[in-house]
Formats: sequence, C-alpha cells, structure tokens
Amino acid sequence: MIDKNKLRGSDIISGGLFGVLGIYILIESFQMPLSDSYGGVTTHWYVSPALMPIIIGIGMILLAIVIIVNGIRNGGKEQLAAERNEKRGKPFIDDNKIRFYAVMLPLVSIVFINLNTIDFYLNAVMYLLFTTCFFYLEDIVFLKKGITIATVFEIIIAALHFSGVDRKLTQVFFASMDLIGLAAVIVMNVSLIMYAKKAGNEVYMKKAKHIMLVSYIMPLLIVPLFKFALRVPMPHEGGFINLMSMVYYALR
Amino acid sequence: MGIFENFGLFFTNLFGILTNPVELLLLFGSVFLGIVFGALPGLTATLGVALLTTLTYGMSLSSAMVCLLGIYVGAVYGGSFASIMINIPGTAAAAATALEGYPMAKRGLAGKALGLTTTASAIGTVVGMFFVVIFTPLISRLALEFTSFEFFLLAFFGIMISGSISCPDTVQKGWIAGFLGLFLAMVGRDQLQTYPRFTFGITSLESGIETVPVLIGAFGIPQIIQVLKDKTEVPKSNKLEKVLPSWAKIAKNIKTIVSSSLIGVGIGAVPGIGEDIAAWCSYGAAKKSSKHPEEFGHGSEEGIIASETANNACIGGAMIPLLSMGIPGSPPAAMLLGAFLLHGIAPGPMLEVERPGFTLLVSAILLLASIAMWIVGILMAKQVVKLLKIPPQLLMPVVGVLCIVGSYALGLKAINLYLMVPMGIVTYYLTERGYPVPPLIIGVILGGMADANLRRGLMVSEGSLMPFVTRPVALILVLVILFTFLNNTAVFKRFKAKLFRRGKAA
Repeated sequence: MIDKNKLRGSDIISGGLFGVLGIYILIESFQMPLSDSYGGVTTHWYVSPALMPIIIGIGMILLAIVIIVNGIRNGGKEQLAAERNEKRGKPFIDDNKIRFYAVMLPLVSIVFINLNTIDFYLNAVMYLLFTTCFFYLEDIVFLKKGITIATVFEIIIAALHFSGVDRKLTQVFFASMDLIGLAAVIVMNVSLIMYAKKAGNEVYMKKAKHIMLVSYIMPLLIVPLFKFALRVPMPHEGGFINLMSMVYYALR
Repeated sequence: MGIFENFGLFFTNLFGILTNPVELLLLFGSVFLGIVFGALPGLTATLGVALLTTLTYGMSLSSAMVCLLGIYVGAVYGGSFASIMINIPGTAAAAATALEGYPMAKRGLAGKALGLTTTASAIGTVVGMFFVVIFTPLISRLALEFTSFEFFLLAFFGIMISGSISCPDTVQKGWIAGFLGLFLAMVGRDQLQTYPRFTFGITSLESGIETVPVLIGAFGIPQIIQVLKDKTEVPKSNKLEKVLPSWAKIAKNIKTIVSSSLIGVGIGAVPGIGEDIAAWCSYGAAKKSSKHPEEFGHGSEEGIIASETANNACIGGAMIPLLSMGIPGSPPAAMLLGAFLLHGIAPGPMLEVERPGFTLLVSAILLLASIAMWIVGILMAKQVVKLLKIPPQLLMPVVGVLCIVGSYALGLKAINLYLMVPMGIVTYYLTERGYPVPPLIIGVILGGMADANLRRGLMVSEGSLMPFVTRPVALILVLVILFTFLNNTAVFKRFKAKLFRRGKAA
C-alpha cells in the first residue's frame, strides 16, 4: 500500500474513477427493460434486470462521493498539489516506473500478443526469460537493455499478428511465428551471457545459469503436465508442442 | 441421518482415504505443497488452492477434496516458517507469529517455536473440524427456512461486514470494493430474464465472468507485480535445530488454545474475514488475558500458540457458512467454492440432500490433513526451510506461468486470460490505494445470488418490501446491516461518544 500520508490525495482520484463507473452503470441500467416488455413478457420494476445494477450504481456513486469528500477534507487536494510540484523537474520515467513496465511487458505480451500466435512452450520460455532477466540480475543497465530487446520483438510480433500477416506466414510454414519468438529468446539469451561475461562478475554468471535453467526447464515440466497428463490443449500448439507430442506418442 | 450413522459415515470416509494409497499420497503431497506455498513469501493459501484447482479437474471428488483441503491446511500453517526463520510472514495469517517467533529464533529457539506452531496449528484445525461437524448441519437446517429475502440480505451482510473488517483504510473503501465485485457479477445474461448486461456485445461475456480466473487474477497477479517491482531480498535464515512438538508447553497453555480456537472458528464463520484477522484478534486477546503481557513481542510462547491455533481453527470456521449457505468465510474458502462448483458440488442448505455425507467427507479430510500437517511439519521442517532460500525473482515468474495456464485450463477460453490480467492490474491498483480485496471477491461470488434472490423475493411479494421487516431473520439481518453501516458513520460515532461521556459524568 502507498504511504498513508499520500492516501487522501489518491482517494480523490480513485473516488472519482469509482464515481464515473457508478454513473456508467446507472446509464447502462436505465437502458435495460424496467417495466416494459422484454422477450414477450411484461416485466415490473421489481423483476427488472436493471434493479440490482441500479442499486450498485447508486451505492457506488454515494460511496465515491464520501471517499472524495473525506479526501478533500483531510488535505487530499494539498497532497496532490505537493506531489505535482515534487514531480516537476524530475524525469517522467523513474526506476520505479521502469520496474513496473518491466513486470507488465512480459505479462501483457504472453496473454494479449503471443497467446494465439506463438507456441505456448516458447511463449512461456519468453515470459520466464524476459522476467527473470529483468529482475533476478538486479542490474538497472541490463534491465533497460533487456526491456529494449523485448519491446522491439513484441512490437514486431504484435504488428504481424494484428495486421493478419502472421496467418499468411503460417500458411507458408506452420511454425514461422515461432521462429520470431525463438529469435527473441536467442537474442535475449546471448545478450545476457555477453553482459555477464563482460561484467566479469562470478555472481552474474551463476545467476545467468539459474535464469536459463528456470526459463527452459520449468515450461518443459508445466506444458507436458497440462498437455499430456491433464489432457488440456494448449492455447497455441506450434513447432515445440508438436515436437513434444511426437516424442510422447512415439514413446507411449 | 442419526448420530450413529453419521459416526459410521465419518469413519468410513476416514478409513476410505487411509486405505487408499493414492489418496494418502495426494494428502501428504498436497499438505507439503501447501506448507511450501505458505512458507514462501508472496505465495498465499488462496493462490495455492487456486492453482491446484486446475490440476484436480480430472480427479474423483474425494481425491480432489483431499488435495484442495490439504493445501489449504498446509498453507495456513506454512506461513509460520518464514515468520519464524526470516521475520517475513509467509502469509498474512502468520504476521502475528513473526512478532514472537522471530525473537525466539534469534535466541536459538527456532526449532522450539516451529514445534509450538506445528502442534498449535494441528490442534486448531481439529477443533475447527469439530465445529464443522456440529454446526454445519444445524445451520443448513436453519437455512432451509430462509427465503429469497434472507439470502439477499446474507449476501449483502457478507459484503458489508467483510468491507468493514478487512479494510486497511476507511471503511467506505471496503464497501465500494464490494460493490465493484457485485458489478462484475452482473456481467453476462441475468438469471431470470436472460437479458445481456454489461457484455459490450462480446459473446464470450454472455455466460458471465468465470469466478476462478477472476480469483487467480485478483490474488496472483498483484503478488507477482508487488514482489517483482519492489526489490525483495530474502534475509538470511536463522539456524534450525531439531523441531520438537513441546506437548508439555501445549498442555500448560490449554486455556489459550481453547480461547484461540473459539476466536478462530468464530471469525472464520463470518463471511469474507480471513485467517489473518483471526490470528491478530486471538493474539490481542491472549496478550490482554496473559499473566505475562510484558513477554509479548520478545518471544512469547503464548503469543505464538494464540496466533497459530486461531488461524488454523479459522479454516473450519470458514467452512461452516460455505457448506451450509454457500457463503465463503475466508478468501481461500472463496476459492474452494469455485473448486466445489467445478466438481459439481453446489454448497448451500440443499447440499446434504443432494450430496449426503459431503460435510462428513470434508470433516474427515480436515482431520487427516491436520495429522498429515503435523507429521510433515515435524519431519520435513529442515527441507522447507531450505526452500526459503529460493529467490522470489525466480519463483514469481513461474507462478505467473502457472496462473496463466491454470486460468486457461478452466474452460479452455482465452477470454478467461483476457479478464484475469486486467483484473490483476485493477486489484493491484486498488490494493496500493488501500482498497481491500476480500469484499471484492465476496461481491463477485455472491453477486449472482444477491441479484436473483432479491428479484425472486420481490416477485413473490409482488414488489412489497414488507418481508424485509416482517420476517424475523430478515429483520435481524436488516438491523445488523444498518448497525454496521451506522457504526461506521461520523454522526453515529459522535453520538456514541456523547452518550459515553454522559454515562461517565453520571
């Protein structure tokens, strides 16, 4: 939780957001059948699907007002102004924001960009490799370098996916998008090893080994567990999972 | 069923599991996994139950319950390892334990402290189990008399009380989080007229938001963000000698054990209030009634016993409203509700009619889980302590993959993942700003029930609101809700203070 002294200022903002949500709920609710006919059935206000949303909307608006008023009364406005002054002159992107972005980038990528594009094993490797590289090394220089590599590759994958080019590419070769994912993994991995070697730091080399071990081995346990033991088809089965299937059914 | 038949069924369940090597292995495995989950800071009992739910999908009901209850019991206890060894509570429920356990560990008494937590936790779970056996059928029978009005009010009461107690900041934040949960439960086609609400024209949303992925998002993603974003370093662990059960100390503190168990069960039975609050309340009560309150904070054995007995007794307490009314008593119990539904169990007053003996099966598993927990705790403590050395920066991304694949596995729908991640981000944002998660979850779970029952009740009464005050249980619930609301308003607080001053003056 953020510092209690700063909470009243943030209450004004979060209360405002809740208020807006409450208004949206009310607007949507009043468009639902209230006491007219729906599906050939005449309804009354008390059986209307809008009844509960209206209660929720009103409750949310009232509580949001209380939170905002409480925030203003307890110095929230002054806190917000002080925070604004504090931020003035400081760089917009600080280490804290970079770390937050570094958590979110692989997480958002694995779900919203790579899920239906890249083989899930490779997708999981990408997520683990990116995240562990960013945080386990605890080196801000490599963190920034890693973010750049990951962002570039994710932009390429997103562009191909959302423009529909990926479908054309997979018609040519079914695992063509996996090759881009694989390239991202290789580039990140090589960068990690080179950085650790250049730093000449024993701890970095040891950490690089741990990162690779976790990134490649864990998905190798998780994916077959779900795919073959629990019979759960993976979101996207590309080159790697097909290879796993071939091995599994050959051995079975 | 008569009392002897119940006894017979209880022992049949007990021996059924004991004589099934697979279930026995699952029991010990899931308890150990639970202890590991509880011990590792950042991983919680709720997340453990959530992730294991997906793995139990293909299992028989009995095996699935063994796994889920095993991990629940293990995780609540496991939190004490990190509290004692590195002064970081593995789970919020073990925060009070850290106050006493860490000073003991610093004095070289880590083994003794862990022995106390192991035995106290096992006793707490067993006491909770007895309350499940006794009170679940009674409350179920009472709940059979409930009409739609009472069920609507119960859902509302759950949100109000959970919002009031679990909120780290102003109480209104707890309530508004509950309302947000209720709103999320409204997404999809409504149960009575199948009218699509808040679906934005997305077909996948018409069946509503699935509870389990939402819970995984709400409990898993914020933990991942928090642990990775803040530079978390694992402190050096204290040395652990042999873990001793310390029966003599337990016998000496029997009064504390009894009162802590009762506090744990009582708090667990209140909807949406978790093991952490039970542990703190019990710790506070033990400190107040102790003959040596000055020892608290410096390694008091009584403090450890109080906190650990209560948080494990809370498991049984949380199961009572879950099984008898379908209202979860704690966040892990909310997750269990999702798991029950996945396995075709609909908890509530009709549970014993539809699934006779299910409560006794749960009770038998709780008893076996507490025994397994004691054995694993005593024998494998050193191995668990070794796991505390795993850096969270390596562990949390793996948890992230498990959250993703687990959410997807439930229903094989990508929409579950598209909801899980934003839900996690929203929950993180809210938690950072002092909004509690339990009322939000209670809202998501009970929203459908509140909506359908309010409208069904009003349909029967033809729009009349009189049953809210003419039905005795409904009236009591209305009064409790009103009191909870008023008790948190400034006007009422001033009025109370005035009355108190006048009373003192007189």
